[in-house]
Amino acid sequence: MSKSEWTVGREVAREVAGNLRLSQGRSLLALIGIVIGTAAVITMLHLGHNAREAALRQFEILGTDQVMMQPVSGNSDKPHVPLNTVVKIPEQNIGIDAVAAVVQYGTSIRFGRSQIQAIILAATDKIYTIGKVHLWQGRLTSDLDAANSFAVIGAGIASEMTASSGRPVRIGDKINVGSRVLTIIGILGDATISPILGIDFNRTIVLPFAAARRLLPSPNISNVAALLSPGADDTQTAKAVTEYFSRHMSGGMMHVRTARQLIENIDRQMGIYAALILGIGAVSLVVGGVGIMNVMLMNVMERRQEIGLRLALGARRGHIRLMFLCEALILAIAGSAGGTFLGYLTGWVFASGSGWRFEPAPLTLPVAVGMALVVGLFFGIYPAVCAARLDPAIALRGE
Amino acid sequence: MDILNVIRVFKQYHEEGRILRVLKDVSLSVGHGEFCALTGVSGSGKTTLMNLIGLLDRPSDGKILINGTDTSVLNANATSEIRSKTIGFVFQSFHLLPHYTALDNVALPLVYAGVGKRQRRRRAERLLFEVGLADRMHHHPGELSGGQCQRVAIARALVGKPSLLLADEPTGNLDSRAAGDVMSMLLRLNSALGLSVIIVTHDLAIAGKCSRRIVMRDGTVCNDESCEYRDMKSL
Ligand SMILES: Nc1ncnc2c1ncn2[C@@H]1O[C@H](COP(=O)(O)OP(=O)(O)OP(=O)(O)O)[C@@H](O)[C@H]1O
Ligand SMILES: [Mg+2]
Repeated sequence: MSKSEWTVGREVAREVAGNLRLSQGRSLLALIGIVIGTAAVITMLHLGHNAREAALRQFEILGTDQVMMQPVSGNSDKPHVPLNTVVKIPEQNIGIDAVAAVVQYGTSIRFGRSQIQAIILAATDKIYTIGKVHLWQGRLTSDLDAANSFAVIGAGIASEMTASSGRPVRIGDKINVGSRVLTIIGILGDATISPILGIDFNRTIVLPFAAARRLLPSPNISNVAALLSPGADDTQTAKAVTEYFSRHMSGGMMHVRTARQLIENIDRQMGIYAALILGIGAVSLVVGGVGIMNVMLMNVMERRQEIGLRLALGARRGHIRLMFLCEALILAIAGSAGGTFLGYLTGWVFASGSGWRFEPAPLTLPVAVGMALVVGLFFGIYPAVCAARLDPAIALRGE
Repeated sequence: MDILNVIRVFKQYHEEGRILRVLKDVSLSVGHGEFCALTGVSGSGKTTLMNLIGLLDRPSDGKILINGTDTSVLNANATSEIRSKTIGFVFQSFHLLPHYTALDNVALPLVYAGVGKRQRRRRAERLLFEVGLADRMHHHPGELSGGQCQRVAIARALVGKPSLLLADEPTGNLDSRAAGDVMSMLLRLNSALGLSVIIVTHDLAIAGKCSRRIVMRDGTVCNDESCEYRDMKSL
């Protein structure tokens, strides 16, 4: 294309941009499709991005060295994991530094006259190290406490007890679990829920492992929490742990969950999510695009005389094509801009509703611009070609 | 060299299997600065001939030369260029864009000549001034009378500095006074700019003011007379 042709093309495009009347009700209606489509895609992008970021942020706080082992039953047997098997894991040199056997169940406790929902967690010493919780008051339970009914309570439980009794919880206070009485020996600081361990220490009452016997008739190890050795390969460790337990437990096998698996899961979900977004995007592209094509075709039919006139005044067919393509593009861009704005808004609303920190997904702008261009070009080209094909003699004659 | 040579032009349309011969062997030449009236009964092929001359359509046979250039061998872009640079159109129904101001309507052809916006406006202003509508510059066609609209259309036809003006019944929608105004304006432009004009009209008074009258009947030119004498009193 020569320079002067380019100049004419530019002037044609400018002239369109300067005279477009978006205020036409019909154009606005056509935009609804692409606005909603773009908004849906942008919202989904933000949701996915922010959900992932929120999940990964927990790993940032708690690190990626936690491991959770969970016995799963084989056939109809109940899996049984002997305690000494668990305790001996670090000696196996398979990449595990610390383990804590856990007996876990939810119940309601009584403090004074109030009932409080809590998780009872009878665990060996290392649970505090592995869970990365810190003590706020008193002391932690120890294996030396044997089966003594000592309890360390989570920050959430403590504040609930304070609220219901009207005075701060003190070390030495008693709580009732069923017919048993526990003595509070420590209070934990505020803790982050670990996505790997899945334990909310804020809502938990920790007992010495042996004390489980006092609360449950036949306590069975429900989980084993562990920490990876520094530099250990988590995949290999997981395999070795499963293999180790297959030799030492009965009635099932050990399922091992590591940070890497969780992150891989998240990424796999994101993949599904991306496919979903792609689907929604494709459908809304078509819906929005058909709307624009429809309006553009109506415009072309209505403006036959104008097209004939412009041809008579010296426009090339290419200029007419360019003119209608520009109009379609402007429509598409306007719709997509509106949709992007709406998508940001809903993404932000969802994020703040879920307590996530809102962070714009990096792909939104290219996606929005891309959608607008694809819709505008793909669905605008046919009306534009129709317009450029009009016979000026007939178009100018017809009233 | 003539501005226009129509050489043995035929035009036929195919309609429902029938062939409709609209122009049959039309030949004529128009020199620079000539002012021609094209008359004839309705359906005699005047508009068809004007469309061929204006390169909006192509003859079935024969040649049309604009400024000596054989247009039958030109491609669509080249004919667009001739329309843009050499030919101006005025229509019976004005064909002004209703959402554009008079100024923007007049400036429109310059878009396709690649003239920048500021320059377009300057030239359009000057032409609107010349047709006596400087004070109506920013009005929309809906706010103008028929005669004013046609003057805007004439300004638009002239803004690209054409050498051939094609006007198909430019006074057809106007009362006799507005028609007289438009006609005297065309005559003035013709003598001032040396513009060649072909004007289709049914109005004998209008045709009478033209130095040359071409009469068509049934697709042929049946009469073509020039009179050097122009009745100045009737202007
Ligand atoms: N595109 C077309 N297809 C078929 N027939 C056409 C077409 N254009 C014109 N005609 C026919 O050609 C003939 C001449 O039409 P044209 O418009 O040239 O007449 P005219 O002399 O301008 O008439 P008027 O004075 O009423 O404007 C008419 O019979 C018309 O029906
Ligand atoms: Mg006609």
